[in-house]
Amino acid sequence: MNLRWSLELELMTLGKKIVDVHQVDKSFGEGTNRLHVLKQVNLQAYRGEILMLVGPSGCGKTTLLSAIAGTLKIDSGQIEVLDHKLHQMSGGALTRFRGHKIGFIFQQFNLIPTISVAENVAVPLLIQGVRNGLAIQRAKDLLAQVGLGNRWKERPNKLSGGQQQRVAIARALIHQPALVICDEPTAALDAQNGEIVLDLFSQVARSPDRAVIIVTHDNRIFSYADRIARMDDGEIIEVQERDPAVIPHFVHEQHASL
Amino acid sequence: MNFLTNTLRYGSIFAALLGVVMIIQVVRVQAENKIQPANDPPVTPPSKPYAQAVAATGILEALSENVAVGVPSPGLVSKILVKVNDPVRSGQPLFKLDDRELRAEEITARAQREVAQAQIEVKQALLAKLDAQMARLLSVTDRRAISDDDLENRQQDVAIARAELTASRAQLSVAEASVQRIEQLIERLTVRAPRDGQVIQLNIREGEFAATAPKSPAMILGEIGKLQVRADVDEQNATRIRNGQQAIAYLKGDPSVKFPLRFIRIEPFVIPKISLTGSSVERVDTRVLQVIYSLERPADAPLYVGQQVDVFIEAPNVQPQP
Amino acid sequence: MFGLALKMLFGDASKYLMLVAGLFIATFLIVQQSSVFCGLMTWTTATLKNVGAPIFVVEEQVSQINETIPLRDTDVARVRSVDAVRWAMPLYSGIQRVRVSDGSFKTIQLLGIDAASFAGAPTRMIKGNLADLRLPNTVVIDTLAVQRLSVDPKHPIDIGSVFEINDLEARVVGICEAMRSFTGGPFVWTAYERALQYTPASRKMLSAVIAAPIDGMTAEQTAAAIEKQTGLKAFVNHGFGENPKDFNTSTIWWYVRNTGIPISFGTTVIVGFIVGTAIACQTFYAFVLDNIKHLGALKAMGMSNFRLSLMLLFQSFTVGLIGFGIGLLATSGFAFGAMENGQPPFVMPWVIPVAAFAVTQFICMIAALLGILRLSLYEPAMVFRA
Repeated sequence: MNLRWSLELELMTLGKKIVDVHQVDKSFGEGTNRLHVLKQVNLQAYRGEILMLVGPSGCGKTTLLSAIAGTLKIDSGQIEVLDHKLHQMSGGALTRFRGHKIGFIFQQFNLIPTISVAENVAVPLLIQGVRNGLAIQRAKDLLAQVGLGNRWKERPNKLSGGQQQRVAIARALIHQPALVICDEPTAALDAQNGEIVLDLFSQVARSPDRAVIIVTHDNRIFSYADRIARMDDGEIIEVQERDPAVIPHFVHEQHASL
Repeated sequence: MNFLTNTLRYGSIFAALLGVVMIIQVVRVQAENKIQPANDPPVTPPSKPYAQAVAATGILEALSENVAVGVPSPGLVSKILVKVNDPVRSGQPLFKLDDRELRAEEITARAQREVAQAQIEVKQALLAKLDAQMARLLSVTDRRAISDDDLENRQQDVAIARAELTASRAQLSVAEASVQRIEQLIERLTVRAPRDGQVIQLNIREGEFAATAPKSPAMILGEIGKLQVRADVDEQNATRIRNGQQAIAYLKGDPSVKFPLRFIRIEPFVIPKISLTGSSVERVDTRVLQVIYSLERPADAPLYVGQQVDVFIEAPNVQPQP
Repeated sequence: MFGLALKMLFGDASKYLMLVAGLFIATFLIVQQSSVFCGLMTWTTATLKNVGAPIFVVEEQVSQINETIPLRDTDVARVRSVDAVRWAMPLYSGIQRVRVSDGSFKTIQLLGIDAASFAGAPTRMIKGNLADLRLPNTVVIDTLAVQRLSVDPKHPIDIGSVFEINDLEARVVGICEAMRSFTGGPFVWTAYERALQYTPASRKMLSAVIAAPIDGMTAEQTAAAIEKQTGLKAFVNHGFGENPKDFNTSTIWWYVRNTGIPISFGTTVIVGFIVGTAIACQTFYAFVLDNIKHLGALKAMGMSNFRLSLMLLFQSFTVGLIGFGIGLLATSGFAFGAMENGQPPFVMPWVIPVAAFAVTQFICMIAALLGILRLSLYEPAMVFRA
């Protein structure tokens, strides 16, 4: 506890906090149906780390993730992502912010079935306004990195689940976002594929400038996390490091690179 | 799947483009098929010779106005003495009606005249005889041989015979008058031309019955060396017609034949329009003012009496132009 | 981005087909029905087209060409007397019965024209000589009459053929092309005087006086002068438009007001519009619903509502364009058939396809608007709820 505290202090002073969730409250519904989903939640994510949000269904982890991604308005509290105060931003600004700073991986992959794999991957660049040809070229390069270089022409539904998720990973990373949000990335995959995908993901996504937040309840992949935040009933009940030894090392490395 | 979507995509786009092309084609063909309204008829109608004119339909007549020759009494035509187009002099016999009945009467009358003649001779002879007896009586000097009574009787006989002779003479003149009357009647059955002219229509043949009030006249005489035009002006335009207005006529059926007209007169009586359209059963409900013009027969174009003409009469507009 | 929109659209073959079909039906029904309506209305003015005179003078009460109140014969002279008139000729127009050689009766539209000038004569002679119309008992018939009056299709009536109009002999001396009449009877031209003989007698027989303006005056000015001077009604003959003094306009409006034709065709057009709208909106909405997950993902990934709306609009616009094009294709097929056959009537002014384009695009906009509405209700956060 003490150690973590000091570590947090250190990282904070270094200005490497990418996500800072402070006293966030969120509830849905009215009156007796009112459901208090997030209760005074505090959470931070730092550059270079993979943070997993775990907990039982309905504990509010997806809501928290939505709030961090800037797709959900919170009732009170503050969310700062990359020094942007999301709780104060307008819808349009939030949309632009999402398009430039955040990569998304969805549970169901949400690849558009009627366009090719490369075009799917290129979508974030297209949203940013990058020229189509260039975007496709970069998508092809990235697909090669995730091992699908020869399948860029195909439609997503021609690929297996694992392959589709790899496409989704490429899509999430193509515009070099500083924050990657993953919602149950292995839920639609079998165990073996889940592991392969996450193995790949932890390799390509991990970057000294980037934080990755993964919501999951798949305990087989906990080992890929640098830190694990456990949630229950709208509160963060515990944040634990996977291997305390790794993080200082990693942080030092990163520090050196700066 | 890919092939199918591509076919669908390009097929539909192609079909859509083709549709636009085809519809343009339709519009083009439609424009081609459109019947262009002809502004001018194939034969240019006569252009109006005056800026302000009253139009009328006219009919060509002989200058003297056509004479419909009638018969003095109904009867069979026995002999026609002229042909259509024959020039006739005034008094020239045109045709004869059957006179056999009158001729028969004439024979009787002549016989009666003979009788009267003979009667005179009888009376003369009688008178001569009585005169002779009287003379013989008077020559007797012995007054006693003759009674006064006898002498008086003789004298009276002579007076009676004289009177009878006078009566017979009167009888003769009666008989002669009768013969002359019948001769006159016979002469009357020969229809003669009332004036110089030309036979322009002959509606009767030898052997036909000529009525006194026929549907068509037996014969029409006219002067066709000079023609006149009788123009029918609609009564609504009648107010624009004045004495002496100029006019030009075009032959109906050949608008290229154009001839100037010379004003003669306006008929003072507005009459119901006589059909000029050719329809026999056309009723009349319009009255027309007739204006008569004369014209010189053009040298080159043949004109015939009865032809219709389109007449334009130069007449100022009574209404102000809009 | 528009490429993406197109690919999404074409990718869903069944919905794409449905959308195109809906708009195709709307376009086809609107264009085809409107054109047939226009064609039918044009047929009502066939006499005006076939008798190509610049001015028609008719009785005061007449408001359309097929209903004639006869004039007096002298009215020709009265019209001719108007200063603004260059020429004026009589015209007879009436429906008469023809007995064909097999004894059956057919109706015809008999036109009597001035035989000297041939004012009002057909402009497109195919066979024969117009001048022969001056011979006794002669007529010029149109191609429809050849079809209708022929007893044996192998030996159609031709120049020299004889039929009877009201028991009077009529000998064909010419065949021409003419527009069909509303009543369906073929046009038969003859000399004015002969037309009166063919027609059972009545008090007045002159149907109209046709006239032309003098040089330097428009038909309208001359028509006004004729009306002022004669008290008759004078119409110009340019074609359907806004001028109420045009006989075409007047005739067509008469039919629009006095017959159920516009209602019948209008109903079909409206049905086309409704069916098109229903199919297009329903399908497009289903299309958006089908893709809502992906559209939501795009929204989450930072695509603005505006750009998404543009995409949807672009998609519906494309579908509208293609449906419209295919609708035109079908219509033109119909049109060529109709023009070849001579019927049903088909006249398509450029306004019709333009209006149909506007209508289909309107339908598409409505459909897109529904989709946009649906999409705007979709919060990007919903993507995370699998």
